[in-house]
Amino acid sequence: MNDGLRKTVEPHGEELEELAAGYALEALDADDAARFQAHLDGCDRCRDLVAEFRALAAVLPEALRPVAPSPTLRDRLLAEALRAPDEAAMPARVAPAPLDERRATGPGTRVGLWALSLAALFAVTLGFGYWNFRLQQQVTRQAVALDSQALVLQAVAAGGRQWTLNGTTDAPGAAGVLVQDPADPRPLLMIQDLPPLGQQQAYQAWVIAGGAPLEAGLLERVTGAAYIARLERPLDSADTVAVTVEPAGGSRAPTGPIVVAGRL
Amino acid sequence: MALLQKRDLGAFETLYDRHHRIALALAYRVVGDFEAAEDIVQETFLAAWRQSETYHHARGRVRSWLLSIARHRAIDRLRRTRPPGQLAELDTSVVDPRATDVLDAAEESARRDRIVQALTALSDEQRQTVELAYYGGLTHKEISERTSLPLGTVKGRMRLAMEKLRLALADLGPDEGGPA
Repeated sequence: MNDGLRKTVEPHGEELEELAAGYALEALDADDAARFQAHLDGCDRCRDLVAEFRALAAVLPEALRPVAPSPTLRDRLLAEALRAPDEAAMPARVAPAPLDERRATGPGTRVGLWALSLAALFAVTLGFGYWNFRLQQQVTRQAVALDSQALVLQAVAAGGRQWTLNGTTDAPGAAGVLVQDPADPRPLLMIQDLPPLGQQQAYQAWVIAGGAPLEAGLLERVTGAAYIARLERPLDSADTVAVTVEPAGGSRAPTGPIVVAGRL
Repeated sequence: MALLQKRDLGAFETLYDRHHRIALALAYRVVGDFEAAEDIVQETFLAAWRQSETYHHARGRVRSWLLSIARHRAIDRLRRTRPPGQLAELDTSVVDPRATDVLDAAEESARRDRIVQALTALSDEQRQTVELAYYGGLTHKEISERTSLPLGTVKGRMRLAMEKLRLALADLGPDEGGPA
């Protein structure tokens, strides 16, 4: 799909090489970013240079003196991590005891009955904890979805520009809206009814200018099949915004199918 | 990281203990507000906890991954709270009174000294250009407008600064406080 999006790649030159530092520091303006991104895919020299400069940029904050937080930060963080853990962190369901064990009511089973009662109580407690956890998670997701919708409405009410995005043949039921809030330089993208992803996949947004796609961040699932993202690129000279399926963590250039796209 | 990806809370605590102070320093450097910086650190580590599968070893060390999250969130906050052109002053002498060296391991401190020396060896103008981009989240054009320098000068200075840092830190090595 990229072949149709990219414009002619410029040959390597001093002027383009000069952009490598700005690219690594995410300091390129939209037109330069589009030029350099288009060139980068076909230039080993610039790719190496960008990799080196990115590694350098990554160590820059290590020059700062470490700062000690307030004493409560650690506890607040851990409490928050426990309050709304990922589904993968959920406690395993407690399996019911085998039927034979539950029917053991013969002589000498008083202690066993106590143990069974406690086990049953424990199971019920965990069960309620699990149910409560799922309920909390659903409420949180609904709240996030409502917050997201409120963000869109707020941006539109504030005079923000908006565009619609439509699903492609890979996601015919999907649809979305892109809003440029005048108070926030990062456009807000909301997509609904996207197909489920594999565990090692993510939806990634692209801002496309003159056929050159620039990575604009991963979409975050807010509820069901609804996703949201604050795009990491301005729309300055962009003519299209698209979403593709990529490996988890995202790609530097689109590799998967476009599921949603919209002309600006 | 493998343990973190299995949602091991102990691994999460270790991750936090190893990297939170530098993450806080970075966030504070960008937003210039201690409470906001703490919020950013909390958001950063929660994002790491909930989205640890987005970390790829091949793309860099854990610390770099965390600091990248912290930087982007801090710059987001900066842009939300201050219109373009009214970014916080980037005074390199600003250090929060709660900053501490006591907690530093000697090795980590020596590594920091190397990076500080490399940055200090840049001209003030070169260092300012890099810092406005990295800590201020500014583009070439925005830096040009802020410093009243021609766009080409800004691009050239940024390139030269990064080349000098590359030479100065060529043998720095990837160690960033150990794997998490």
